[in-house]
This record gives sequence, structure tokens and C-alpha cells, in this order.
Amino acid sequence: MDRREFLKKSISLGLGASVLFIPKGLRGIVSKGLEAGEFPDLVAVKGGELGAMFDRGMKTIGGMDRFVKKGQQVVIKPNMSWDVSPGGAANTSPELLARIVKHCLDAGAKRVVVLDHSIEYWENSKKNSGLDDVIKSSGAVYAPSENNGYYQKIALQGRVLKETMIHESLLESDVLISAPVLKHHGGAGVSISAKGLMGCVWDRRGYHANGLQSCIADFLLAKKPDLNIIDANRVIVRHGPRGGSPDDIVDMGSLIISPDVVAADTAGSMMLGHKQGAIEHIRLAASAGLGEMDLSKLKIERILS
Amino acid sequence: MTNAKRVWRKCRKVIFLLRIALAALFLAAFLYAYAGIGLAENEVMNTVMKWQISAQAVGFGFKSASVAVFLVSAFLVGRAFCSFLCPMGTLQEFLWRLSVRLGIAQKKYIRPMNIRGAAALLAAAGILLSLPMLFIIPDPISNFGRGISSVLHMARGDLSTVGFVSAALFVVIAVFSLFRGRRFCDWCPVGAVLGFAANCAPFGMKLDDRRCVSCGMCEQSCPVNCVDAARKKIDRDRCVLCMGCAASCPGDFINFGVFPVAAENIPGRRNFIKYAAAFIIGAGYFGGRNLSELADNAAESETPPAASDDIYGVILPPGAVSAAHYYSRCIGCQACVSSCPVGIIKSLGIRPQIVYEENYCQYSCTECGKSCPTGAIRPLSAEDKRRTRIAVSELILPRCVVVTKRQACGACAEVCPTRALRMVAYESSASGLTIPVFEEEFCIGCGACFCVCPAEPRAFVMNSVPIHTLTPGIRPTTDVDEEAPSVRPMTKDSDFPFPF
Repeated sequence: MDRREFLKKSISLGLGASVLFIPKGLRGIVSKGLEAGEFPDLVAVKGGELGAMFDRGMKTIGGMDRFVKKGQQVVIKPNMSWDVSPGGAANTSPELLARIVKHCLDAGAKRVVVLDHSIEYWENSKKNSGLDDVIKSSGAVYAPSENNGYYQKIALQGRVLKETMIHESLLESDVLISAPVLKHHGGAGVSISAKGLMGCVWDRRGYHANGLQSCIADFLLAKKPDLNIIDANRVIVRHGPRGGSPDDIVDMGSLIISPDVVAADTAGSMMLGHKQGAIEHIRLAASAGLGEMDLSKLKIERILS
Repeated sequence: MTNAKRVWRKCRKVIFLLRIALAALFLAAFLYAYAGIGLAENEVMNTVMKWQISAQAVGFGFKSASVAVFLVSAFLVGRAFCSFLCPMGTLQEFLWRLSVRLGIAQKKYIRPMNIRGAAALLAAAGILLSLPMLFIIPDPISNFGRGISSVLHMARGDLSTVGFVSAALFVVIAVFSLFRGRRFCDWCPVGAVLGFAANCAPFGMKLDDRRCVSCGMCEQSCPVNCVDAARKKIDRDRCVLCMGCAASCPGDFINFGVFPVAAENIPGRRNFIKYAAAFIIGAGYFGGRNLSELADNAAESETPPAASDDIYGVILPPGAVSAAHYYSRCIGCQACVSSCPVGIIKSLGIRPQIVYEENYCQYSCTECGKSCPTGAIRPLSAEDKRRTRIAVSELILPRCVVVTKRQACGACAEVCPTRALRMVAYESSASGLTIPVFEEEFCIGCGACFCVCPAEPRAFVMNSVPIHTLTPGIRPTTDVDEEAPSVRPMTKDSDFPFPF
């Protein structure tokens, strides 16, 4: 044992011992059912400021460097489709996106691309959602997506979706982070991570024409997010996904983080008041083996402030 | 040649080049504004359009600040407007100067075509009597805008909004100007009206006929071909003060100078009828809109607006008020076509209208009204735009994919910005299917539902309205908005509804 190793070991021992002095309420987080080096499947954070909630949640799930390696290219897919101000809760919160980008860059990402095929006019959506400023100031890159030249046709083995045009930046990237805002959806029931990925494809109408629920689930065969970060701070609980009235918004003050898209969406749908398995596209994705829908089988960490 | 004269000659060249640079800047701004589809280009469009005298005259008459400015300037410096602010004029001039370099241009004096008085008379009558074609056909900004917009759309391969006649006419004018200079200006009503004033303006290009040796250099540098070197004469009512002749004169015999109030410069009794006619035409051209509005107001107070205003059955941009309002003011310059960020304002002829297909009218967007130089599309506040009904949607439920295919959809309610559409449980809530319910009262006719509807044929039809009205806004929350009692979202105070 040389000196360097001795120092390392004593520091880690010290850190280990310090766990004993953590206040009782927090100790559960570190100890419950987890072996050393093992991370929870899903982290649910509630209370406090969104950026700080994200920091704590990320730390618990293993830090961003668990998902983003040095030199990798990352695509973040927030909700940026609506010409609605941040108060309207139709788009991902700017402060959350800023924090995600920062974590990616700190983990050594070469390039962080922010992508959403806007539904309303892209320039207004980008600007008025408050995300444009965040993209510029945080060092991320906006991926233009307003015409079909940015998309490439891919084939996939879905139940319904056999081919679709997906955004080229997805093909070039190493990591996909889905960062939706939790919302009600008039057609699909909920709009969370899987539904949000519809913003990576060109032909939205094709989804609606051929079976919205199946297409949402099928897309995951082509590209499954490596990490799902669900902004459930202020949530549109009816007349989603655009909302329109402050009456539609409920303050949940929460955040869900999980590498499993099906688990994350199930948790989100339950927060919106649905029973586990009530939402068809989540059920379809689970039956295709794309993730775990039965939350009782998963290790879930809850962090309350 | 003395030193002072040499310096003065240099100065004239510099003034000429500065004027060319200014003209090029405005032309470039127009091309940029018409070529672009983004919001930055629209800012440029809105600025340059404010200074288009014909558009302002057609739309606002004497109420427009730029009309007042240019009228005063016309009585001082004549047609100076035409030499740098008019894109049609500068385009022709640049093409002509280019072809002079190539040696193919006509560089001789061309006798005036005396149809411009008639063109101005017809244009004035058109404004006064709401006969739009009379002021649209000879108008410079209208022809330029239609032409450039159509040519650019063709170049992009987008044939959905190309006026082929306008494009062809534009190309003909451009090619013609290569050989013959600014010939469009010969029948331009704006030029004619400003030209009347130029005849009695105290300032202008002045040729010193005692010292001039008729060498012809000035004649060859005039894009309007209005300098007659042999007769040592400049047609003042055609000259646009481009400074070309002054810069080219080997002596200093042509200068920007003062015309003293001498007997021969005051309109005499012989010319009285001519000048009186010119004055009436000019007043009619610039004040026609104000007079016709007075007449409209008087008529409106007698009879309420009739539903027969909807004679066209088309959907007009937000701010166009009604077919009567819009079609009596629109000059077909296609500024709105270029400014619409989602490209739903299209025209295959002269005057644009909304065509819903791939895209729909954006809820908070007011770009078309901001760009319209005549007020045919009135500028709306975002607040008013969100409540202005430009059409009304009609839901044809038997075509809906939820009914025909028993598939989840909800695309229409998803994009409806006013909650006029909402999704309710279909048949039994156990299936999880939802179906749209439409409340017409809150529909602003933005076409969002129609455009995103995946059904074939679509489950929506967009109907035009005779007159744009204000709706109550977003549908307020009522009992119908309550979800099924089984669906209860968590709140900040309740715990996560899943095991942990």
C-alpha cells in the first residue's frame, strides 16, 4: 500500500463512515436496498427549486457521467413545440434544461444538441418558451428542424410503424436524453417521454392517421432514450398538451429521473391520476419489452426536501 | 481648369456614388425582405414598406406621414424619391447601367411617352371609386413585389403561390430595362404625380446651355433617357435626380441648382388648364383614400354592413376585416405572402388569401398586418389577433379516425389554442378512446384542427366569414372540463402515487 492508495482508502472509509452521521430522514436514500455501486431504477424528487431538485436526483441515480462519457455527442429532447410562455407549462422549464445541459458538458460531452420539431412556428416557440436564451447561454446547440431536409428515412420493425423520417442529429448522436414536461394529452392520454419523442420525427400526421398509440410505442424500437428526465413542476392536467388556461395547471413541484422510459412514463401517468397500465402506448411499449411497467418490481428512490 | 473646379468635379462624382450606394442598399433590403421567410427579414420588410409612397397613398392618403413628407419634397426636389426609394426604379437603373458596361444599352434621349398623365388619372379614379385594378396595374411597388415574390418562389421550386403573369411581366420589364432604361417610369402614376410638382420645384438638375458644347456624355449617363444633349435640355418632370449627368459632364455645366422664380418658371395662363388638371389628379391620387373613406362612413351610417360582403367566399388574413375592406385597399405587393412565417398566405393571381393545407394561422402571430403597407390587412395587437375570427371551422364527426378506425387521435384538440375543441370519452371510458367536441362560439378559424386532422377526407371544413369579428377568447373552464372522478392528479401536498 503506497501513500496514494492509503490516502484514497482512508478518504473513502471516511466517506463511508460519514453516512452514519447523515440525518435520519436522508439516510434512507443512501441505504435502502441498494448495494454499493448500484443505482436506483427511478428517482422521484419533490420540493424545492427545480435546478436543485435535479442536482440531487442526478446524484442519486449515479451522476450524469453514468450516462454521458467524455467526448460523446448528446441530444436533449425537451418540449419546445408551443408558442407559450414558461408560465403556461406547455414546454419544458428553461431552468431545468439549463441544468441538464450543464451536467452533460461537465460530464465531458463534446456537443449537446437540443432538438424539437416544433408544432407551432418554430422561431416563436423557441423564443417565447424561454428555451432559446437557455440554449444560447448554456453552450448547447439548437438543431434546426423546420423542414424535411433535416430528416432521414429509417426502417423499423414496429407493429404499425415500418418506416419514418427521423431527425439527422439522432443518427449522429451517442446519447439521447428525453426531457419532457409532464402533461395531459387529449388523444394519447398523457404526453411524457415516449410521446415527446414524436418531436424527433417529421411526419406527425402519419402517426395520427396510422394509430397514435402504436406509433408512439413503435418509435422506441428505433431510438430509446438513455435517460428520461420528467419535469413535473407545474403540470397541465387537462386540455393538454397545449393548455390555454391557468385553470388547467396543477402545481406538483416534482421531478422524475429514470433510464427506463416505460418506468418513467408509468410513474408520470400515475401522477396524472391514471392507474398503472391505463395508458395504451405505455402498455404497448412494456409488452414489446422496452421497459418495466410494474413499478413494484423496481427500485424507486423518493427524495423529499 | 482651376483647382477648385477639379475638386468640385470630384465632389459631384462622390455624391453620385453615394446616391448609387443608397439606392443599392434599399434594393438589397427589398430583395432580402422578399427572399426571406424568417422574422428578421420581416423587420426589414416592415421598415422599407413604410416609405413606399404609392402604397401609403392607396391605403391612407394624407393621413400617412410618408405621403406628407414626399409631397413636400416633390415641390422642392421633384422625383428624388424615384432615384433611391423605389425598388422598381432602382432595379431598372442598375440593370441599365450594367448593360451600358456591356455596351448593349440605348444611351440616347428618348421622347416622353405621354401616357403617364392618363395612368395617374386612372389610378386616382381607382382609389376614389374603389376600383382596385386601376391603381394596381400601373403601381411600381405592386408590380415589383408580385414579380420578385413569384420569381423567388419559382426559384425555390414552390409553385403554390406564383403569379405566372406577374412573373413574366417582371422579367419583361427587367429585360426591357437592359436595353431601354427606366421605361416603367414612363407610365408610373407616382412618377407622374411627383413629376407635375417637379415642373415648379425650385431645385433640380440644371444645364448651363451657354457653355455646354453638346458633347453627349450626360445623355449617355441618364437611365431615364431624359437628357437631350443636342437641344441642351433636361425634362424636369422625368428627371429623378440620379446625379448621373452631373457626374459625367467633362466640364461643370450640369449641376444640382436653383431655379429662380422667373417669369418663364411660373405656370402661365396658357398652361393653366394643364396645371389645374395635374393638381386635381395629384390631389385625387393622394387624397382619394380619405375621400372614399368619408363616403364609406356616410354610407355605413345609413345601411348596416350586409352579409353579401362575402362575395368572394375566401379566407382573408387576420386584420383584413372584410372582403370589402380588403379588396378596396390591397395592391397585391405580396408583402404578407413573404412575411407569413408559416407560408399560408398565398396568391396565384394578384391579391393574396389564406390557404390552409399543411400549416395554419399562428395564434399569437401578427406579422402579415405589420407588413401590409396599405392597411388592407390592419395591424392587430397580439391580444386582438388571438380573438379575431377569420373563418369558422366545422366538425364532421363521421369522418373522424376515432369513429372510422377506433383509434386514439386528439390531434385537433391538441392544437386548438382557444379550447373550442375538447376531447371527451367515446362510447365507454373503458376503451380509453376520446372524441372531439366542438364549440363554435370560441372558434377563431385559425385552421389548426383542419391542418393536423389525419382523416381522409379531413373531418374539418373551414368556412369563410363575411366579416371578421372578435370572439370571447379562450373558452372558460366549466363543469364539462372535469375529468372522470377516477382520474385524480397528485398535487404538491400529496405523496407520489406509486410504491417506493
